[in-house]
Parts: sequence; C-alpha cells; structure tokens
Amino acid sequence: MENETKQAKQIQTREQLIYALSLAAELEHGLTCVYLFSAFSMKKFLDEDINEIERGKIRDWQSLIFSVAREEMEHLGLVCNMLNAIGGGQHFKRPNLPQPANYYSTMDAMSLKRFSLENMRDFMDFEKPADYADANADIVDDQIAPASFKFTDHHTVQELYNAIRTGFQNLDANPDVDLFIGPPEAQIEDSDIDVGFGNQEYGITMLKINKLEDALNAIDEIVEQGEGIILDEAFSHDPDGLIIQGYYQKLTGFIKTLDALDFDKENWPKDIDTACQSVHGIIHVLKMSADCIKEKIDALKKARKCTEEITKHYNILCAAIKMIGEGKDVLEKLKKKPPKYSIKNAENVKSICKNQISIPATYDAEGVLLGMFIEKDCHYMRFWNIYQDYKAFLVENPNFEPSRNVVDNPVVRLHSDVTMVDKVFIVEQEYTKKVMELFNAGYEVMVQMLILFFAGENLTDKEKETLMRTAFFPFMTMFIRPVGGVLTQLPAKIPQEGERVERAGPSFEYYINTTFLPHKSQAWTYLHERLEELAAFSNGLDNVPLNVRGCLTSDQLKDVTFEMGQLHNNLKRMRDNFAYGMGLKK
Amino acid sequence: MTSEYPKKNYIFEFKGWVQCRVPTDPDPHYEPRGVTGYTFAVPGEPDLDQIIYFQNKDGVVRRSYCPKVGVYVTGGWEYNTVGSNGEERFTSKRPIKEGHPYYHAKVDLPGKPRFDSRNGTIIYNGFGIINPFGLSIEGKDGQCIYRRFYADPDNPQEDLSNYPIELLTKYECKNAIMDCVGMLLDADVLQRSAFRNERLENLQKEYADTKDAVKRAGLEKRISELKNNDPVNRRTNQIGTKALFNYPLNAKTAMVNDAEITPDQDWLMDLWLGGWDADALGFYIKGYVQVVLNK
Repeated sequence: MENETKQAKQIQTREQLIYALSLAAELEHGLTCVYLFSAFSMKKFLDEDINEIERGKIRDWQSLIFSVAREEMEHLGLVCNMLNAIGGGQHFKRPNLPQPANYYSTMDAMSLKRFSLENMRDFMDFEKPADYADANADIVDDQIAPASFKFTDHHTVQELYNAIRTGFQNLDANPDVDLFIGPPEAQIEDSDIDVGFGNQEYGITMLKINKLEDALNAIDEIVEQGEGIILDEAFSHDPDGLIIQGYYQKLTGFIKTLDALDFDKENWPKDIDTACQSVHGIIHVLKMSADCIKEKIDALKKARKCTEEITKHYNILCAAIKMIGEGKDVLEKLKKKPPKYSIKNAENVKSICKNQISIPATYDAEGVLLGMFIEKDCHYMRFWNIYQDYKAFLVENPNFEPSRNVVDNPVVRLHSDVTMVDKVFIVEQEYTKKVMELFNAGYEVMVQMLILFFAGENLTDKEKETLMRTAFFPFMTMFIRPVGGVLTQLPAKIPQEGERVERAGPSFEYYINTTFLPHKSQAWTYLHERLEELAAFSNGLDNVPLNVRGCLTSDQLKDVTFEMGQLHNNLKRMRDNFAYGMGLKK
Repeated sequence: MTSEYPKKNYIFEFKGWVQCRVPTDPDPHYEPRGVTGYTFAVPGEPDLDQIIYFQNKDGVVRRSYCPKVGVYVTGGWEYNTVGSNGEERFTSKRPIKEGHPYYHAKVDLPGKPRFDSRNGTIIYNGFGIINPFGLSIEGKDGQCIYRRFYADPDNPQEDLSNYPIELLTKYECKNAIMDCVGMLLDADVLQRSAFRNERLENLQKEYADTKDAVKRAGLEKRISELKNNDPVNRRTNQIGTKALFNYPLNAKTAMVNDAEITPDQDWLMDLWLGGWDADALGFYIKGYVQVVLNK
C-alpha cells in the first residue's frame, strides 16, 4: 500500500516528464544568471581598494564561480537533449529576477546579488546534496495537465533530478510507452561544440540521449557535478559493506587512540559516525587528523616526554596513516571505472548504513553541511571552499571587501512577472541604462541562437557550426563576459556628494519575444539584423560621459573605455561572420 | 650554361624558447590577470600583455626555474643559383654553422605580435593568426634581413578585422599533433608530467625559503597550478602539442642591411610551436625560412 502511494507520486507520463525537465532547464538557466552576476561583481583592479594578494584570491574565487556557471550551462544543454529525446521542446524561458523562494520551492529566493558571504551561503543552499540520496520531488495529484510538483520544504535541485530519474525509469519500463521518440540527429553532442582540442578542457560533456541508460548517465553527470553525490560510488563496489566495515573498525580503534592522547577534536565533525559513513568519509577524517597528531607526537618526542604508552599510540597512528594510503588506492580504482548512481545502490547504502553507521547529515553551528562526504570538486564544495577561504581572509582583514558596491537586482524596467518589487533597483543613470539595454538585447539574441542550436533538426552542418561559433565563442566570452563586468563598475545612479557609489550589474532581463524561430532562413535574416542593430547601438559607448567618469576609478575608466571600444568592433565582426556562415549577402 | 638570373639564397633554421603571457580560453583574449583559462599573472607580476617575445627584452617576465627566452639561427645553408623556370643550377653552397656570419643570429618578431583570434571573432582557430608577423634575422656583425607577411600583400592591413574570415582561414594553424615525440625531444620536455613535476618540486623548495608575502602568494598560485597535472588537463596536455604555421613572407618590400629591396618572389616560411608551458607562459619554436635575393 505504501509502495502504491509512493508510486502514485512519481512521474508516470511523458507530459509530467517534459514538465519536470522544463522546470530543470529553467532552474539551470536561472542559476547560471545568478552565479554569473555574483562573479561579475568581483573587484579586479588594485585601485579598487584591494592589494596584490587579495586580487589573486578574488580571481581564484571568481574563476570557481565562473566554472560552476559554465557547468550549469552544460546541464541546461543535457536537459535540452533529454527533452529532445522524448519529444519535448527546448525550454529556455525563465522568469525575470528576483523570484521568491516559493516560486521554485527552493530554500532561498533567486536574486541577482553581489558576491558576499551571504551570497555564498545562498549558493550552497541551491547546490546542497539532499539528506538522502534518493530524496524525491513528488507529483501533487492525479491530474492530466499541467504537471505540478510538491517539494519538501526548502527543496534542492537534486530532488527534482531524482524525480526525473524515477520518471525515466517508470516510463521506460512501461510497455505501452515508446519513450525515446525524438530524432537523435537533433541532439547535440561533444563534437557539435568543438571549441578546439577537445571539450574536456572546459569540463563540457554533451551526451546524446537515445535510451534509458543515456538519460541516467546524463542525470548522474548533472547531480554528481552539482551536488556531488558519491555515497554509492564506494558502496556499489562493496555490496556487502565489507570495505566500509573494515575501515570503520580501524577508525574506531584510531579514535580511541586519540582519546587516550587527550587530543583536542574541536574542529572535527560533531558526529564522527556520520562523518564515517563512507570510505571517503573515513579517509577524510584520518587525513584531517594525521598531520596535527603527528605534530603533537613529534613535539612530545622532542621534549623527551614520549612515554611507552604514547609510542604505542603513535604506532597505531602510523598504521592508520598507512591505511589512508590503502584507502587512496581503493578510491583510485573506483575512479578509473566510476560506477553509476542507481536507486538499487542507494537502497544498499541505506541498508548498510542503517546497521552500521548513522546516516543523517550533520551541520556546523552556522548550518554548513559537514557530515556528508561528497565529490570534492562538486559545486557545493566549490562554494563551501570559497566560503571558508573568505572567512579566513576576514580574520586577517575584517574590512576586506572583495566585491564592488553593486545593488541587488538592478533592472532597466520593472517586469510584470516580478512580484518582489521592493527588492528591485530601477537603474537611473542614462549611460548605464544604455549599456544594460545592450546587454539584455545581446543576451536575447544569444538565447535565440541557443534555442535553434539545441532544437537542432533540419540544420545543415554549416548552419549548426555558425550558430555554435557565434553563440558560444565569441558571444559568451566576448559579449556577455566583458559587458557583464563593465556593468558592475557603472553607477546605478549618480551619487550625491559624499554618498558611496552604488553600481549596476547585468540584469539578464527576459522579454517574451525570446522564443523558437521555426523558419530557419527567416531566422538567419532576423538574427543578422539583430546583430547589426547591436553593432550600431554599441557605437560610441566607449565615450563615457563625464558624470559617469567621476564615479569610476582610474583603472575602471580605462577598462570601461577599452571594453566598449572593443565590443563595437567585435559585434561588427560577429555580424559579418554570421552572414558568411549562413550564406547571407554581405 | 646560363649565367642569367643569379640569386643569393639562404635557408635558415631557427629555434628557441619564446614567451607569450597570454590568457587562455574561455577568458577574453585581453583578460589582464587570467581568470577562467589556465594561464595567469600571479601576485607581484604585471598584467598579461599577450605579446610574443622571441628575444629577452622589456616585457619579458621570466619566472624561476623557467627556460630562458631567445630564438637563434641554429643551422641551414647559404647557396647561390643561376637560371629560372626549372633551369636553376647551384653555383656555390655553404652550410650555416660556427663561423658563418648568420650562425647564432638573433631571430625576432618586431612590433607587438600576438596570436590574434579575439576569441573566434577574427578567425575560429584558437591560435588565431600571428599579427604582425615580420621575421627579422640579425647577424652578429650587424647584417640584417627583415620581411613581413600579410594575409593580402596587395592590400596590406595592420588590423586583421579588415580582412574577411574566409581569407584569414587560409593562414590558420595548419596542423596540430598531440603528443609529438620529436617536439618533446627538441624542446627538452621529454615527458610532460615529469617536466611539470620537476618544476613543482623546485618551487616547493623555493616556497619554503621565501618570506615575502606577495612572492609567497605568487608561488602558491604556481604550485597549485602545477599540482593540477592530470594528463588530459590542458595544463599538461598542451605541452605535448605541436602546431604548424605556414606564413609566406610576402610583403612587396623587404629590408636587407637597412636597404629596402623589392623581392620578386615570396620567401617561404614555416614554423611549429610546441612544449606550451603554462607555468613559464612560453613555448618552444622551430622554424625555417628561405630568403631569395637577386644579385
């Protein structure tokens, strides 16, 4: 009975699956904008009140956030392929920002905010691994259209993907449903986004989805990269839990050693059992302790206070450290042929953990997740590392401010789909508004190209290549990136005397005409016209007005002038290259 | 036997390490510190200037334990011919080796040459076109040869955006061989990961002895990048790549010992670059140019 109820809440129809995938596309797209905004807000120049070392650190953090944004775009691409595979349409639509938490039932509102500690906490919430590996979003009711989901409060993106995973499995198992009906040639694969020397350089993996296994692999890629679930990775090669039991016993002995040494475990996860729920966890705990214990014993030895008892403990420690090496080998083996996540494995994990180790995740005093051991390079951990690093910098210099004084949610105009009106800042400065308009129009053109690219069918190789070589490189790198960075330097309004300059930012405003253009030859003409309009609109923007100059540092003025001058030339070039690639008249 | 059309010819072989402090994709081509690519200006260093330096001059920032910049003539032939249109005959030959006035001559690219692709706006290939590309060969006794390459010598332009993409594509990187053994040997890299790990060990020792906070931050960044030594990662992978370029020196005029001449044919030139060292921000090149002068 319980199983039946559970099943009734799972995705069972194509329409529900398309709905869920469209929602996932929207979330990935929105998160990309939110992450990019934060990265663009970060300081870059020494005359922005940062020193050499801080500038280097800010650059590293910015690079990490950009890398997450890039992977979100990859996830969006994978979702597009999944939609294509099952007969759905490309979903690039998204609401304007900000949107309240209840819009997507996420833990936090989706807002465009400058980089800050709070901002990193919000990002960690978005990417937080679900407490349980198979936590699922449920279908609300028995209904035909539109599908709708009920998430647990403060749901994570992972729950949505778990629901999608289950949906793919249910529909594929249903003999009455032919699930994969989309034309395979309409999907995008790695070779379609060949930006030179292999896409692995950019961490981009585009998989074609032709069968259940492909869909599950794509979901794995998304979830592992984002929330970093690897619990099953250790367990899937250890169905009886022998490895984990062995390590756990060794670790228990080791912890006794530490207790005997009266070692200060203040910085350890509060619940060691939880921390040790996987091979990764145990190794992590050992690693965390090995260096400081060694130091302590070395000091005792130096002071000739090393008793027999301590030597005995030291030997146990050495054995434990050796064990870390063995653990590494196990992990290396697992990495070589990474097993894929599956519900079956998750069930294994749960049953083993139920008997051996407590499972719930633990959090530190600030609510930062500690007790889950996940892929160290996943999005959650990247944000976590930035957060910790930033806090450490604040100890050194409490006045350290790594981002510009950018207002929350700057916009050119208020959009009817935004309800959080009091959280929006309508930019007043005319020059800044003009650059924002340019940004939004360019963003619109880029998205329209991406829709056509991912819709895919009936495109010649040359057309596909031209779309890729316009929308990806150079549009993302030579339009979105530089103009986004310029906007966080420009004043949102001209300040009164003595007032601190409040700066604008890329608002990613979304207009309703950003949609699929079904007739391709007309689409090429229209997009070429739009590129021409962008080039014309950008002309003269390198001439920064005097009142704006007064709000910029010397390096900022140099940067804005240079970037806007470059932009005009580049847009003309993109327009001409597009015309050549699509065979339009010059 | 004809004595018409006497020509003085050289084929120069040149090689050496080059510096190019350039940001890498997906950074914009002018990103001053490097953010999203795998090359960076570290704390204490000036901004990345993208300029290709064949010689050690102002602008070169040599990092510790990195190769010394300098490209020199290392061999070739000087030979005279007479005749034309398939009737050419040698009248003399002389190898370029120790004692030849052009042996160990400095090879340079004057101006501020860059790999110009502007992230795929000028040309799609990531290497772009080296622009400006004018090869200068300066012997020890002051003798000098210089000539430019233009994508269209009848319409010489300094800014490549004045040329259509279809014209420039003719001069894109001709071929790139991954893991080219000959190049690894020439550049003295030998083994990609070991090459980086050797540098890493040296830097770790240097770091232990360094007190200055900015220098330490710079070393920390270099060390953390070198630790990223996955063979498929660009940082390590690209050391093994050899990329071939083929630009004829085709400007209407050339300079020989400060005198302007008008050659009646293009001078063939090809070079490869490889051993791209993301820590040193440089690469190794080996090239050949054929100079044909009317007597």
